Amino acid sequence: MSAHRIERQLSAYLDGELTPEEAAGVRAHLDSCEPCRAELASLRATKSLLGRLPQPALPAGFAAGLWSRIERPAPRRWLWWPRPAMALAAAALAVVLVAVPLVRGHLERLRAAEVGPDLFLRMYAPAAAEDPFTDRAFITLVSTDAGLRLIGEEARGSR
Amino acid sequence: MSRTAFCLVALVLLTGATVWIRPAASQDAASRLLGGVTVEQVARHAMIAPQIVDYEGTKVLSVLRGQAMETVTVSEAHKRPNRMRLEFLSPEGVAGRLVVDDGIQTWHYEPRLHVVIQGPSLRGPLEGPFERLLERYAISLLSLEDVIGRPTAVLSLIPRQGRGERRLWIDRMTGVALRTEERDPDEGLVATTYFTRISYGLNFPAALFLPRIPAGARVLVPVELSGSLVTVTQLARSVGFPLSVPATLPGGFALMGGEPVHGGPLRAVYLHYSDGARRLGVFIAPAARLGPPGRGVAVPALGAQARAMGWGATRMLQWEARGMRLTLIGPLPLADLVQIAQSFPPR
Repeated sequence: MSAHRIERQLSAYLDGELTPEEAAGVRAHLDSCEPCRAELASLRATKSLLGRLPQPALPAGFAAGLWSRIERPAPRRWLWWPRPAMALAAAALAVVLVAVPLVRGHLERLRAAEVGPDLFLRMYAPAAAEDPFTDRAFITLVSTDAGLRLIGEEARGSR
Repeated sequence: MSRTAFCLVALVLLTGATVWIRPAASQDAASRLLGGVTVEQVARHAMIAPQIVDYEGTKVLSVLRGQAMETVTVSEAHKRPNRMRLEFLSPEGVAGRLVVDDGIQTWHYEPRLHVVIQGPSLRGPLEGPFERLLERYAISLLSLEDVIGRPTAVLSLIPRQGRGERRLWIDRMTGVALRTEERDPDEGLVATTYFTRISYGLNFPAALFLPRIPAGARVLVPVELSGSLVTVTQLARSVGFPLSVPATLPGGFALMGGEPVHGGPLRAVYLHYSDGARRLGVFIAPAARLGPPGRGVAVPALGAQARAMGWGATRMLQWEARGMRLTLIGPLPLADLVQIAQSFPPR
């Protein structure tokens, strides 16, 4: 057994942490090695001094604070979300982004279909009124009814 | 020349002479009835009457809407050349409606809503090329009658190439049409107008034809007309979609002009045609921007979404073809509008 290896085992030998075979080997070496015996004596003296040092007192509430920190749930980060929830949210967002313009376009189309005839009548009326023998009162009646429907008011029903 | 050939030539000459002489004889008879004035002169007088006569009267309009005639009474004042004031008297749904037209703008006050709707002037007939009217319409004198105590000449206007008939009772002293009738070849009498009283030569104050916005009334402008563009190519470029025009039009209709239509999300093109006395409007819009019509009666010949509406002789037909929504408006029989619709070429 080399002297360096024994030196590494001396602290464990003092603390009684070696196997019986290892401890017997150390004792045999110490019988024949003066430097190792001196080293063992130095270690023993140091451990004795450390053992005599006073134990510092813990601050009040240290244990309670420690346990509260251990038991408090860690703050969640969005990246820690379960993956299915993230996928669902992304899918919902995609549906909204696609559906909103589609629904809006459809509503605008229906609105245009609703007011289209009245818009066209309003545009047609001035040219029709210029034709000879066109009755202005009649064409005005048709045009004003269309104007009311264009602003969202009921005129008098239509065919 | 053989006897057969001689007889044939004689027959052709006799037929030609009869055809030529009969209208001439008819015109002579009409002229005699009118005291030396021709039917054409009476019609021309009626055309220019709005430019030279002031009048005020009560008029009754009866218009076929759906299956029933609707009657509207209106007080009408006209100041030459193109100012007009209409006060609607009945039925209850329109009573109180006031329309003032100064020849540039129209102000429509609706009392039940307390709103004023501003729009373009319906300034009335302009003196156009009378020859074009004569070319395209057969005008004849039907009779001489009195209307509200005034002598009138009853004229019939029938399109030479189309169908339908317009009858006018023309005041022989002033040229004003005291009574009118619109006859549809399929539906019969579809619209009449007549004065129940009329006064001429009144010195109307100008203020009568100026708008007076009632205090607190909302003023709305639902349609802004853009300037008229002439060519179809210009229009197609301005709206960004291809245009197709009808291949055949009845009664010698010719393209008069067109303009883009902008109404909210709707983009369309308006082309207008005239045969000298009737206006045909053609509106073209992408079907993606204009949904199927929600009103009107179905027209199966043009597809499931085709619909027709009518106000007297004026009809609207809407249908879809090749991704475009097309609309025709004009005082033509529905069958004629359907024929025009079917003549649109494939894109």
